[in-house]
Amino acid sequence: MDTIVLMKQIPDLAQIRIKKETREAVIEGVPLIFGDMDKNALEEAVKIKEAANTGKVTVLSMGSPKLKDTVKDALARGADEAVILTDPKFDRFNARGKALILAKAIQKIGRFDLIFLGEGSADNYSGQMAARLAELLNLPLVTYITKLEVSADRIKATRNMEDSVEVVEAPLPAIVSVTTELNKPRISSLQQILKAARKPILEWKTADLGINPADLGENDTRSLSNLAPAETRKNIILEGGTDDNLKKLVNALTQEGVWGR
Amino acid sequence: MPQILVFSEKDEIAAELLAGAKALKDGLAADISAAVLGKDAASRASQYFAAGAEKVFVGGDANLNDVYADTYAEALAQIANNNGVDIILIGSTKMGKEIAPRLAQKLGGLPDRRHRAGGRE
Repeated sequence: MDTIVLMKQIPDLAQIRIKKETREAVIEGVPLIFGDMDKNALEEAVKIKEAANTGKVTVLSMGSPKLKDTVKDALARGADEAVILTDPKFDRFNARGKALILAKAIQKIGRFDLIFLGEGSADNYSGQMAARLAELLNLPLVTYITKLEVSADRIKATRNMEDSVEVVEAPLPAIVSVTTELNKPRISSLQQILKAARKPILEWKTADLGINPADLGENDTRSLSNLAPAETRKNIILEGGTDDNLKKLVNALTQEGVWGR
Repeated sequence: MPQILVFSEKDEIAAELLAGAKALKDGLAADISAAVLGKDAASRASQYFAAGAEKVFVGGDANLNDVYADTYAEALAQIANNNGVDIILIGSTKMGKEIAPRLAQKLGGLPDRRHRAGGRE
């Protein structure tokens, strides 16, 4: 059972600072990591390999050249090899173009039974790639999975929808997108971290994928603004004894119209 | 006249999108239509007019009885291509978030069609 796990390099959200005056996020200098759902996706692929005691897990990622470092974390978590797409030309394409590039890379990787993605990337969370790849590669797609059973030629998965829980079957090869409920990603041991240094990292550019950039759409989506929400807290602090404060609190909330709406 | 097409597999969310589309309508001088797919599509269509659709495309093909993203995206692509749709609003349910990118990938093949798949939570 060979699997491909798509992972996206993002700034560590916990370390992003917001500039109070402008509400802008400061991303410079923030370390790059893989998001939580990507780790769940990788964990599931590695578990399947370990259970079958055979098969290869390939991580595929598109991003800045820093990926060469970031991807070592994935290799330490059980991936056998990584394919990274760091050509700066890739960055100017829209989601459609990027999906085409990833599809080409998947076809070049060759053999696979399952492709794993997180439900969405932790930074953008647009969650488009799984569906776009399913269209391009003409593969069945099962999204939002919370449970997965794999057999030789099919999968059975449980999906969490808003009003229902679905159990679906699909033939292999297939694409799945995973939620954080699916599993608990392992913490790499020192031995695995050291082993990771010797695992292959393949770096592919447009020429390697046989892509003509003219065939891909330019990035026609512009981000007009990306700001943290405005703080509307009143920051009123009540000093004094509890009885007094309780009366003041009730009065304040009454004035705000919190009761009886 | 730009054509706005609205879709959600959940009627109540489609109604929200239609209300949102009305807000766009004046600014863009657009026509608003909605797609209703699946079981009882024909009988569900009338409430869409009440919610603000000027035209309703009904897809009652048996292949649409089960809500699958690939068949629904295909139906919406055909509706969009055959009716000169310019802007598509899709409800941001889990199903919608799978249908929209499939639809976008399908429609991208026509360079003179701009499409925006998105919607309200």
